[in-house]
Amino acid sequence: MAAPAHGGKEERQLQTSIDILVQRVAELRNKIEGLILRLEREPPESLNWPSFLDNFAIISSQINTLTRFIKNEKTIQLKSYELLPLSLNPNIDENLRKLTNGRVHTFNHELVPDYLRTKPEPEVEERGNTLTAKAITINTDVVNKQMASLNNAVHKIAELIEHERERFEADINQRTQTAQSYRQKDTEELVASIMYGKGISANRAVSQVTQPPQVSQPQTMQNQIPNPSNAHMYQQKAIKTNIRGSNPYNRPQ
Amino acid sequence: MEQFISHKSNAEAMVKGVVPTQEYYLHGSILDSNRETLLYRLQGSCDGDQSKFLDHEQVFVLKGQALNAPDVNVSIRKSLLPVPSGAVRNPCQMRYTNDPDSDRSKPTMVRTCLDIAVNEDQILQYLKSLGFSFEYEFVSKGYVFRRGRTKISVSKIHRVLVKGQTEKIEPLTESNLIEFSCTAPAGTEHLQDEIKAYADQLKPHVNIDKQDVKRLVSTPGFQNNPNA
Repeated sequence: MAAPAHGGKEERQLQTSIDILVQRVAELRNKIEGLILRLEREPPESLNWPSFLDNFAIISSQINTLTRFIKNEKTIQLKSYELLPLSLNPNIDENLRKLTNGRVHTFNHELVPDYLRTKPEPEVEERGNTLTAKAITINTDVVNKQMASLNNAVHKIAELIEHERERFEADINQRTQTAQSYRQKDTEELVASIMYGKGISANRAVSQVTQPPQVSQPQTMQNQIPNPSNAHMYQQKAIKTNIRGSNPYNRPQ
Repeated sequence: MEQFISHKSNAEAMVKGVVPTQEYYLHGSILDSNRETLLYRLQGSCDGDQSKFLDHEQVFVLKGQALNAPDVNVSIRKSLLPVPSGAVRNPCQMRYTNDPDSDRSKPTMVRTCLDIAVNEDQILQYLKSLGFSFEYEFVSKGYVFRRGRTKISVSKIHRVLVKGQTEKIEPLTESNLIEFSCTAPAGTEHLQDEIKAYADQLKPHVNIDKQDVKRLVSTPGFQNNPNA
């Protein structure tokens, strides 16, 4: 990793990027602190799930923004910079303590490996390496077979979950439907009727309301049957409701 | 103030020199299938017993004479319930109402109204000679409750199939109209909160709220008179 030359423009860019990062992280920290404070201080009965989930949603969206900002092309590539601990001091550093809100008191050999770590711990890395080595030695056929069976299993589980979800949603829909004990549309219609005579006004013939369906039905029937003979007509009357679906006379001969 | 509001009749109120002219009201509806539950609940939370009513209401309009002059609406409401033997039928009620106040910030609808007891035969003729024309009529059938100063009615609104024949009726919808109403003298705005608070207690069973129906009436396809 080569540290880029410290040109004036680049330095300014780095500074603004870091400023924004610091600000974002501070916002995130505030939110999390607020949530923890609420959990600890407020009586449990005043906490409710919706507001709690709202808080979670806010925090997660802030983390998202932060990640997006780091990944953004315009943001300076932080991983091309090196950070070198120039001096380690076992004494308490007041300035550092202030900067970290009292979380880190000293900058010593014990803490530095943890805070500036960019790779996993050696033991973890070793285990990872052995696993990779083992994966390389396995026969490709076996790998393919195992992959296929895993995919199969995952697919089945996904299907199962999907199915359950559909059932669950249908259940919820049914429950909300049965729970409905009023219709807003009816309310408005009734109020409009008694206050302004909507639908019951003297000038409006009542029969108008019921007539259209009666008139339209025979029309559509005639349209559907091109050459109605007497026998056909008889059939129509007998099975009025099935005209569209199963009337054999409907088909072109 | 309290004593004025608790007047049992307008006549009494007039004797004392105060007439309830403001009506605060809210509307809601309940499906037929859930009506019993609501009635049960109202019975539990209202004062006294429910009483049944079967009313015929006719609405007359005097069209505004001058340009942009508002129409004048009066309704005549009479009971269709049989009178017990030996009792005298109560007179009809005539009610004048104006358009509701369009102030959205108020918790209930507010309109000016005046009620007066009238003799049916004479009043119809009188209205006719004044130039009023018959606009529409309906029959409402249901129960009325009282809670403090609020009148609560749950009723089925019926359309009258042949004008003037109150036996030939059919229901308008599958729902019952719920009306919360309180008439009081001007300057009793605090009553609105009382009505609203009680209406909110019945949530989520029913939604009793301000209904802005002016918008509905003026939308196309919803006119009073399609021939006009």
